[in-house]
Amino acid sequence: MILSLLIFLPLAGALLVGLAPRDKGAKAFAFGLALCVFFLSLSLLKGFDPADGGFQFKELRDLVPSVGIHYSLGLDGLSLWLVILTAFLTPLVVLSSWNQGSERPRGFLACLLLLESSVMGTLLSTDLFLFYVFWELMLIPAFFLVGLWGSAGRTRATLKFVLYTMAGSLLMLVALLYVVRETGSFDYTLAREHLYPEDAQVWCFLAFAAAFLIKVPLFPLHGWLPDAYAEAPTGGTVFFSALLVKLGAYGLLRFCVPLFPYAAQETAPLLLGLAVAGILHGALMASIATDVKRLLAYSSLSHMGLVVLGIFTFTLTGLQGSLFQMLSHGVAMAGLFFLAGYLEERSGKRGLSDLGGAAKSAPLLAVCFLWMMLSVVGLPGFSGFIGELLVLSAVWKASPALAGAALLGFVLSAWYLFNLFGRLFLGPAKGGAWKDLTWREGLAVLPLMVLVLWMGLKPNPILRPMEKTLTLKVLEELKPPPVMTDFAATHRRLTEEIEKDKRNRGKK
Amino acid sequence: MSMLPIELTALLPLWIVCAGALGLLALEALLGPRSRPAAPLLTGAALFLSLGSTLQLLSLPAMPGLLFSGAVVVDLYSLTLMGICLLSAILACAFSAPYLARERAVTGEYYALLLMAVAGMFTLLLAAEFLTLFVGLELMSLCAYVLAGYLRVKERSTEAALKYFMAGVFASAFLLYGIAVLYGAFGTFAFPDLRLLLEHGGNGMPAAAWGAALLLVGFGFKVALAPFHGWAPDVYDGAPAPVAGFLATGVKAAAFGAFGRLFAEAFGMQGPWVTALGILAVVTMTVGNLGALSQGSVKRMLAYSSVAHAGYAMVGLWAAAHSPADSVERAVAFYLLAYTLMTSGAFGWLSFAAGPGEKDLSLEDLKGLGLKRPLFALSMAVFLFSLAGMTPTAGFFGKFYLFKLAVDAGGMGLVVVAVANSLVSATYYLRVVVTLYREGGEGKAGMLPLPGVGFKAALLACVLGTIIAGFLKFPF
Repeated sequence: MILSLLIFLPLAGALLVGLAPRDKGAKAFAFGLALCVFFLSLSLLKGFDPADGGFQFKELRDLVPSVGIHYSLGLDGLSLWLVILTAFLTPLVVLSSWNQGSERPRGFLACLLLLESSVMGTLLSTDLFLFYVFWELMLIPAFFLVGLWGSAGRTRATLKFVLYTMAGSLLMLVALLYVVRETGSFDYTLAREHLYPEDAQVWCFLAFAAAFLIKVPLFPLHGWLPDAYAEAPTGGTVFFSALLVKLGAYGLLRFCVPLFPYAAQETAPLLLGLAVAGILHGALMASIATDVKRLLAYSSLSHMGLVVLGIFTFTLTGLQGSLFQMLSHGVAMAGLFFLAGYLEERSGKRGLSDLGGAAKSAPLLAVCFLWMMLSVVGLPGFSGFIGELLVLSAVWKASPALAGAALLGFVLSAWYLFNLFGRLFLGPAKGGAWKDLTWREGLAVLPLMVLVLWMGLKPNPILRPMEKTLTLKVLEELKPPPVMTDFAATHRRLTEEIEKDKRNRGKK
Repeated sequence: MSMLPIELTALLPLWIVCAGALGLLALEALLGPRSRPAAPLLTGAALFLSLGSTLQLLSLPAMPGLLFSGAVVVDLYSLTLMGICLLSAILACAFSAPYLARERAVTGEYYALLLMAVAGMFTLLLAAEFLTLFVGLELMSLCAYVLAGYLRVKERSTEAALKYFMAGVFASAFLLYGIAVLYGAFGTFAFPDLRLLLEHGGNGMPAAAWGAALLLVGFGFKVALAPFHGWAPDVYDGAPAPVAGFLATGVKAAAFGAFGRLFAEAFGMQGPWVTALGILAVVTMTVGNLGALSQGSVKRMLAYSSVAHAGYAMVGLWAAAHSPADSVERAVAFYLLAYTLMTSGAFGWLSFAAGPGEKDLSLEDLKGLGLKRPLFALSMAVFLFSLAGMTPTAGFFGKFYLFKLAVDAGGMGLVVVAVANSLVSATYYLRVVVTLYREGGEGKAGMLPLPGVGFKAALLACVLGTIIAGFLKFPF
């Protein structure tokens, strides 16, 4: 019941808000609804059993019996935190967009809620058809968000984004239909347990991966990202960078790797290389960017590379690091984009050369920005550090060269982000004195700041529920990629250490 | 009802439509211009009555089957397609009324022609033998030719009618040749008999192949499959928009349905031309989509898009040839339903947006319409999303079911081509949606005050149908 509520409450909210007679009540209603959904998602934590690696809170109903499609939902360690992240960020996005969608705010909020609903649906579906429907459903509100409420270059950005995503999704559709034919049903668990012939696995993996890697995005499929992020309204950009891209990585973990383990292992070296290439490419492009949002977009691309890197190490550490990085990246980038959005609202400009010296008139804004930046850069104590540490240590054992290259990307990120901070906030003031953070804007950013620190200092409560699912569902049939040596031993050792830790904790 | 002969009750939809057509003609003859305001209402009434009777027949536990000594067959397939044709006609009627009023066209025979075309469609769909098939096809086509050229003062309309007529007559000639060859070789017109003869050694005879090939060409023209589609863009472009909608949906669906029935019943879905089906599907989709990409006029783009959609439906037909399940039939019927809703809606929208005289509507003209009339533009956006096959519209569900059944039947390559075509089609559909919401349009397109209740209701029905149809519990 609760999972259905998570999906359909925002949907109902979207309809109500879209058809509401007045703007003012609609905004408050949207915020209230999003908040309710968040509390609902928190209640999932209570009922979640970390020792069970399978799907929990399951729901099953017939949808189209003759074809074998069911309304089947489930939550496990992989989707738990992503669901909570989605529910957490939506009210904050509504809050930060209070003055943003100044024309037609009802439509804007309806699109946001519809987007939340489809993200929830994608995360919670355990029926292949349902997953595909919700996956595709994200396109329409995203299309309108960028196309109607975006800035100057939005037409091209929208078309690029939608067509790129559709290309991937349609490829995935073919592979999905093949899987359905092979297993005879749309059920995810059956699809996962089925053994596919090796050559079929490779093209299926590539087809599914096409859709997911376009979403993440992985280097060279990232062409849609800079335009879409830069031209989207702030709320839209936050949704894109904090949530939608996570779905790409989620898809990899949910479908590509568990269903087609042979293919995953075969392509792992390539994907690891591309991930590092993406990290470096993003970092370099961010270094030369002249537009705040574009800079942050490339930075986001760069840090998502870490996620893909972690996935294809096929170790528990790497996977946990990857998931953690997803969460941390979501929270931190959301904060940064919110703040960049506030700056844009105040000054009407995004160019680096047009802004400067904001710290004098808006010190709070500057502090918040610095705070979120520190997490992205990976300062110990902040959440970004945990993800980095876990993933890079997993990669290091395998290939020091790759880990070194990835690390270089992060060093660069420190450079361009601090550079950004200096250009935006320090130095002589340009563009006049601005208001500091309003209480509403601050309220949107404060939870993110708290979370970023809390996650960095206490990562275990987040890491633990993921463990069982990742071990059971993802790692089961995988041996670490052939390029990696000594890995099985490390894997064993790490697993033993985790068990020992748990036992110790149990004794206490 | 059971006291009446079954020929009456089972074919009631057909009789109602015929009576309506003749009644309208009589009314026009007797009362002249005074009867014209009532004509659309009477047509609508006849169509709705016919629809009601079709639905009632559909709910019967046992289908009547063959009637009139094997000339007609009333079964689930024909009744479903009849329902779809009725839907198309109802929408055409609702969109035509304000259109004709605005164009100040003399509406005397228009509605009677519409009803007679529907009667022809029914005969076509109910046919269980070649002669009935031909009669129905010709009745439908002749009425369609006249309807296409209805606005005689417009050059383009007359040109469209003439082109349609030429192509149609040419196609009918091919059909007749094919029928003659088959009759000459096998001595029967009836589908079931032909099938029996073919199964018992007939398939090897060259006459069977010739007959099938000629029929394929003839029907290819009628359904506007590539490479026989050349007439379609010009005809849909020149015809009045509601008529173009009717041609693209009802007429096409009826011809397609008859095509399907013919090859299933008469040829038993066997023979070398099953590969031909696959090839036709690929060529049609590709030609349709590539043609639409380069169109500047929205109406011509929709015309090419309907050609492409016939291609997708052909994929379903190919799947039906390769798998025995009748879920394929239902999937094709659902696809035709979704297609009717979205294409009729799009042409109906266009009939209003193009303004008086129905000037050529280009992308530039649509710029900014979404900002000036948001709900109106949103309805077109819904149709375009559905045509592109985006979730959760009916267009997506239709394509999904067809592709799934095609993959199950082993047509992976076909589905890959279809999927690639879907992506290409998304380009030109989304281009229109994006243009609708761009700023800065000075065009006067779509700025007329909205016409009456009928038009709005029809448009709303199309929009709602497009959104919800995928979720309804069809007898799948």
